[in-house]
Amino acid sequence: MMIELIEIRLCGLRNLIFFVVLFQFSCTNETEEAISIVWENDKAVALQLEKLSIYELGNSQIEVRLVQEGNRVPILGELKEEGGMIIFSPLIPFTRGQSYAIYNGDKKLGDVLIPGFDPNDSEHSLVEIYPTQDSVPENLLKLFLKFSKPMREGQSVNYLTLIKGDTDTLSGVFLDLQPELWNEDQTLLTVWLDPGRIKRDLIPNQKMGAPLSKSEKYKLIISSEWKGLNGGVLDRDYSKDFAVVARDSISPAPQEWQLEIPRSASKSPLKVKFEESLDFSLLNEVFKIISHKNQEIDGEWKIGNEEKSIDFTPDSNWNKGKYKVRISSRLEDLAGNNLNRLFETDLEIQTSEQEDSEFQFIEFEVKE
Amino acid sequence: MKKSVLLVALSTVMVVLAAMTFRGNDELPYNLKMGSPEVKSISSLAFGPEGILFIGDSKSAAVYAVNTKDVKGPKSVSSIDVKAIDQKIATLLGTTSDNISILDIAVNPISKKVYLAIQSGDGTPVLMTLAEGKFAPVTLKDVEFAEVQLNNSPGVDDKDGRGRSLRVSTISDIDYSDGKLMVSGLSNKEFSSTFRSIPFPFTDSQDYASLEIFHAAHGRYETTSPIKAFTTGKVNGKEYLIASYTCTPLVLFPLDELKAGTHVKGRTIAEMGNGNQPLDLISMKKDGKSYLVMANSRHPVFQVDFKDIESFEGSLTEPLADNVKTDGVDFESTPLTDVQQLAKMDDGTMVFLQKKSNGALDLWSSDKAENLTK
Repeated sequence: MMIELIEIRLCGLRNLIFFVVLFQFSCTNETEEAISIVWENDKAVALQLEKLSIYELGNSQIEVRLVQEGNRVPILGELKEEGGMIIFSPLIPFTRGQSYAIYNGDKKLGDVLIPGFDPNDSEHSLVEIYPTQDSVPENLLKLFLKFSKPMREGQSVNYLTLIKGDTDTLSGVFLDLQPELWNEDQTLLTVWLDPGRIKRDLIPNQKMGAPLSKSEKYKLIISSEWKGLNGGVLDRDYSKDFAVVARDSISPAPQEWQLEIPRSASKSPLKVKFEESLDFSLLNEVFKIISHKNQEIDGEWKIGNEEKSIDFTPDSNWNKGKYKVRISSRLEDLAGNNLNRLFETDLEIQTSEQEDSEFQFIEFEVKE
Repeated sequence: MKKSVLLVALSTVMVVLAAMTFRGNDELPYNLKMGSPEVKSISSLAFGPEGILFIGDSKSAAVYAVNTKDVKGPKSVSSIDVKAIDQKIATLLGTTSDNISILDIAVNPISKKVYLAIQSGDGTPVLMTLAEGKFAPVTLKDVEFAEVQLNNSPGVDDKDGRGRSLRVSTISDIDYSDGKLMVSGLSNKEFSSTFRSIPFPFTDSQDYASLEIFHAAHGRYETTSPIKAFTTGKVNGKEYLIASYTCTPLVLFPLDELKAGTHVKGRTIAEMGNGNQPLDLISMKKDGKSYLVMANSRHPVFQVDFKDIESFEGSLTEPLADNVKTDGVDFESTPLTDVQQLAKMDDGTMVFLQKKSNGALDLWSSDKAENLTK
């Protein structure tokens, strides 16, 4: 199963006509047919060399090297012949903006420049910072950053700054977690405030205190230097001001939420209003509407202002009758308290032992 | 009579030999099958038995067991010393060092080859080996493999017996011990820890134990925070899971108590300091003593004598008397700073991926645990 490096040989190429090709941006370049780039999903995944008719399969030694001073190291990849072409596929796509030289043994066959990203195309922006409201509890656990395009992993701590008051740049506020917590398409990043400082009585908490202090004002700054997956940077610096209020040590309580119930024979939304902002990422997936026949109702959920409410618009008209809102108990508030348990349970406070439940329900009735 | 016994014995041996010789393709070892696993990312590596490499794939929420067939011991084990390994790998991949990351390293305990999980800036994963100074890519096409999915059905909540979600979005560590693959996972949504113990060879029924494990600060506040790195080790003759948490405690769990559906509470033996992230944990031996060795994001490499763990009767899970302050078991700092990855080659040899003061990333090995301080 091992591919032996580094020599990648094509058998039988004895006589080779020496030619130099410079492939640049232009598609009309007359040398295009000699060496061309194979693209897949905007990535340069291979180089294709036209095999001249006088080539004989023999002692050729086709190599591709990154153009760098003094570099003679061939790139690892797969070389194959297909339809009269020689195709070299590197292990990772060729890097935008870099030049590569193609050699046969010591003879250079040509250079290829992989075009860089179009600056107009590669720019991306920060779409939203969650929680969106401008006051947060002092035991805030998570922030979410939503970007317009996929971002590069593993670098968030370098580009996030938290300033207390107007001048005091704080260090060690965010957890430098590797790998970072991105969604699948790398547009939504979860950032944890250091849980060791939030959790009471742990040494970081005792020595440094919680990352945020009540009654103080903060500014979160996101640097425009942050690179996207396509190599482009953010269109500008972003910032968000927020004030810190008292700690939240209470689990969300669905029985206290308010419902705005729609009329039957309409597609008006059902509105569920919480008493507080809840976790943006979980809100998207913990709600279901169940009919009195225990069937799930299809429709669309939309998170309301400051993540303090959620609307459900059914695909079909509401029928008269009883329904239930089903909420998965893993829903958390801004401090990581979920429906079953608090972020930190104080064992000195005796509470009645309650069984964890998978779901909680709110019943409602649609009338005429 | 003697002849017939001999004949029976002989035919038995022949039948066994024939069975071994003619083992068909459908009888690959460890329930493996031939194919090309669609590995989307390589977040963690760990070796199992007989050259089986476990690949933790966070993007697919799966672990693949791949037969490397790399089971030949080296004639002699030479030290590793590769300066600027990131630049060397980048050049081999046709890019620059800022465009690649080394996400994990693991040493094949048989061949002593170093396996490196590399990721390019665009997210393409590459698996490579390093042996005697030479790099080679490892193909995942047409290999013997098996996989275990960590989320069963997309869109359907996967729960344990107590109704908690067990979805994994990032595999934080994997390890193999005594027929079991252990996986710790983080979620990008809930603040919780999932820990799975999956029997290997994998079976269709996926009879793994999934659980949340708790730890407390000084007996007062209990949390289910995520596990960042872990290893296993013997303390007082008993096998323990030694887990380090994102909120810094180092916690011991008896392995035999980790059963699905149970509320397992660990014994906190140390806290690893402000804002520090444990990166890798391994157990090593030096002069007949066993040590737990730990690489950290903000601190030098720590070491602790297993004897100290054994003799540490207390637990930071107990409430502390007023004015008493303890960090638990005594951890010693080694002179090794900026170690990003740590792997065990054998009981006395560690492999380090270390950021040097000149900015280069070096890979090197220490013989006879010479870098431990005692």
